[in-house]
Amino acid sequence: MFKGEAVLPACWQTAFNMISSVGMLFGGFACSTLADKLGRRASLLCGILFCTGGAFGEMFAPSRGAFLASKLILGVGLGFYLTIGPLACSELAPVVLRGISTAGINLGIAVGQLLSNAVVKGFGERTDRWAYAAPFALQLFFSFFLLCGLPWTPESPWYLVRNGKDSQALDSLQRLWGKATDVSDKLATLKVTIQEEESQKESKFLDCFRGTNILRSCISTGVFACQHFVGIVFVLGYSTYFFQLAGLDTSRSFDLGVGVTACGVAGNMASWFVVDSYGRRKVFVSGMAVLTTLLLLIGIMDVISTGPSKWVQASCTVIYAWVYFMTIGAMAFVLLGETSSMGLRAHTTALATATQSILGIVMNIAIPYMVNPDEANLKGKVGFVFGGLAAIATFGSWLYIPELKGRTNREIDTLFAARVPPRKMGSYQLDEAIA
Amino acid sequence: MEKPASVIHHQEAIDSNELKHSVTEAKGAIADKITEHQLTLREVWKNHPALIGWSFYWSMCAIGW
Repeated sequence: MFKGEAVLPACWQTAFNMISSVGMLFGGFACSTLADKLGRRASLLCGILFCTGGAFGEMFAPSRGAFLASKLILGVGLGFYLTIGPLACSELAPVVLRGISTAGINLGIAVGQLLSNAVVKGFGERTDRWAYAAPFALQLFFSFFLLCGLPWTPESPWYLVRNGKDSQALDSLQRLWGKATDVSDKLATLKVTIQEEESQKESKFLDCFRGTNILRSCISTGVFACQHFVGIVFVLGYSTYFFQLAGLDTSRSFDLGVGVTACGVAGNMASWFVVDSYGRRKVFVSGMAVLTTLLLLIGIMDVISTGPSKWVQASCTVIYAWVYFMTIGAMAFVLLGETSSMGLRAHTTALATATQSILGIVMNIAIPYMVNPDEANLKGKVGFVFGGLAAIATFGSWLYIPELKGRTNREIDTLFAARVPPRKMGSYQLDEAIA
Repeated sequence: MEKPASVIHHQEAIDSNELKHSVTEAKGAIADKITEHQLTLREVWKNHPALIGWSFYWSMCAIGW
């Protein structure tokens, strides 16, 4: 109690904010190992069990320590979800569907944020325990949804072929492509690609950092680093703060915050139309450039500090949400699903999840020190900090983001093996004999 | 010591079968590559809806995050 009011000490608040990211770090690596050993379906079941246990623990925890432990367990489950989702999507989808289905991962994130904001808004006014328990209970709904589909979902044919289960792979392909399709050629493609990758003896985690795989791993993880360098935690986490600065009352600013998340959902749906029309590289690099501009604009408006400038800041957060979810938010998962080699995809996806977790922890620690009135009190000038980081990341993106639209997995392997510069992969003509 | 003729003949038969199998797989992979490049989104929607459904299912894992 502090001056007659119940408050949560800052150290516990920080711990609660960060512990999920710590759990995600371990969950991602555990998932990649289990996914290669037991299969993608078994890994998803593990993730569901962790998330269900963590959600129940959060709802009924009798103490702060128990709540913290529950959030850690939940974080492990989320690490499973965030690793197995992109992995399975990229393995099941054909070339024409790959961009849209992997971009759908970011849609899942955006929809989850929107639903959680809506539930918090709906239940936050209550005075009973359901004011905080209801958002946790929502997580159980999605665990139930995934559990219902799990017995029927086909196992990844790539996993089955890699483990010598060709007949089961054939069944899985038949279930995915329909009974009317002859899938024997698709099985042949899987076997040839896997044989070529196995000839290079790539299957261990450290192989992600050997030969051309180090470039592939750096691109796969770098796109998620870019998401943090453009200040996603700052802009979306403090959007209601900017609305309050513009003069809106707390309730209305929170409603607008939910609206910002809805913009993100709409932006991600828009990404489906641009991912194959304009390509991954153009969308990603353009998105980085636009977000850099918006961040610098937020900073400049904070220096000007008039009434209209505060509205410009608030408007920038709305536009930011749309642009982020349409461009780098969606493209990062598309690039992860295409750039990594098939043999190391599980490990590379775990590395990407770890990158997100570590940078999430860093940003959650650093940003309050930049924004809080009793610390640096930079307010909107934090836009200059992230604008500078985003500008550097934009240049890096121009150098290293490849265009892999329309390329099969074998063609992608060939491009990296031939050490074609990533920025030239879109226009590179592969020799038919080699491809 | 030289291998008996029957063993050599048997080994050559195995090698020949494996070579035929590899050639068949390679031809299948080439044919699939051509088919894959010709596939459109409309065809996937119309003829292979299970692909879309299960891709959507796996992408919904991220909602939990």
